[in-house]
Amino acid sequence: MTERLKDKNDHFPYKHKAIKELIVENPPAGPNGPDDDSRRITDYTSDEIANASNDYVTAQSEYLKNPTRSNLVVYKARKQELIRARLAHRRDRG
Amino acid sequence: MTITASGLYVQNWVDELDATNIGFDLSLATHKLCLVNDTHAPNFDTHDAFADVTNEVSGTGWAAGGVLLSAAAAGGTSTAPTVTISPAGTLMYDMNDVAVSATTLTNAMAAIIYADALTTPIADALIILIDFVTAFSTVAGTFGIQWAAVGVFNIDMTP
Repeated sequence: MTERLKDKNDHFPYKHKAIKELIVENPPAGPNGPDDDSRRITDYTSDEIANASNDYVTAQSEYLKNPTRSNLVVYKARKQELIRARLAHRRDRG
Repeated sequence: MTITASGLYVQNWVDELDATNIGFDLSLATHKLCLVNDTHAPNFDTHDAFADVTNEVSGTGWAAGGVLLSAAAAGGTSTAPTVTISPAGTLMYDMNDVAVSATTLTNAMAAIIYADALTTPIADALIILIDFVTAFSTVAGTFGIQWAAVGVFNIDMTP
């Protein structure tokens, strides 16, 4: 199980602080150059997704290190919260 | 025009579920997402490895072989892949939207997710091809994939 913790490269730990700052800045994120504001960062993510992703990845890490029932319950709960955050973001963007 | 639909790579899913048990754990962030143009001709029954992928699209900011799911979301963060029940009776594979900045890519028609870290029994086993329907290009900009509310894919297991 702990082998899974080797899938790092920014998955473990989640880059929470960095993405929160980026969401606040909300720079252009369109396909045609750095100033293309046809899309912005918040078209791809949200504060809620960032928080839920952080909680999910943390819970996943804890479960992989120590696969107890209680850690599994938390991991599954954090997963559902992330799903809810994604659905809310996608619903809001139409 | 050879990409006409999205699809799961059937042989690998058979191998995932039987004694072969190839182990491509969909929660892994070590999977990669690569892009192909419309000249690529997928065969969902026979293609099983990244070696079967042709006409790959790569460029500035997007290397050949694709991007790791662990760094493909906005700000280089993890897409945090999940497998859940959503809605009831339905298995959903989902992840945060892909948003890779500072890319220059031409005519990406589909994305393929594959298990880059797998070496045996199938090296770089293919998981799914997602048809964009319309080709997309970027010029020093963000290549983004906004997943649908139903996720990357879902399977109604109680039809």
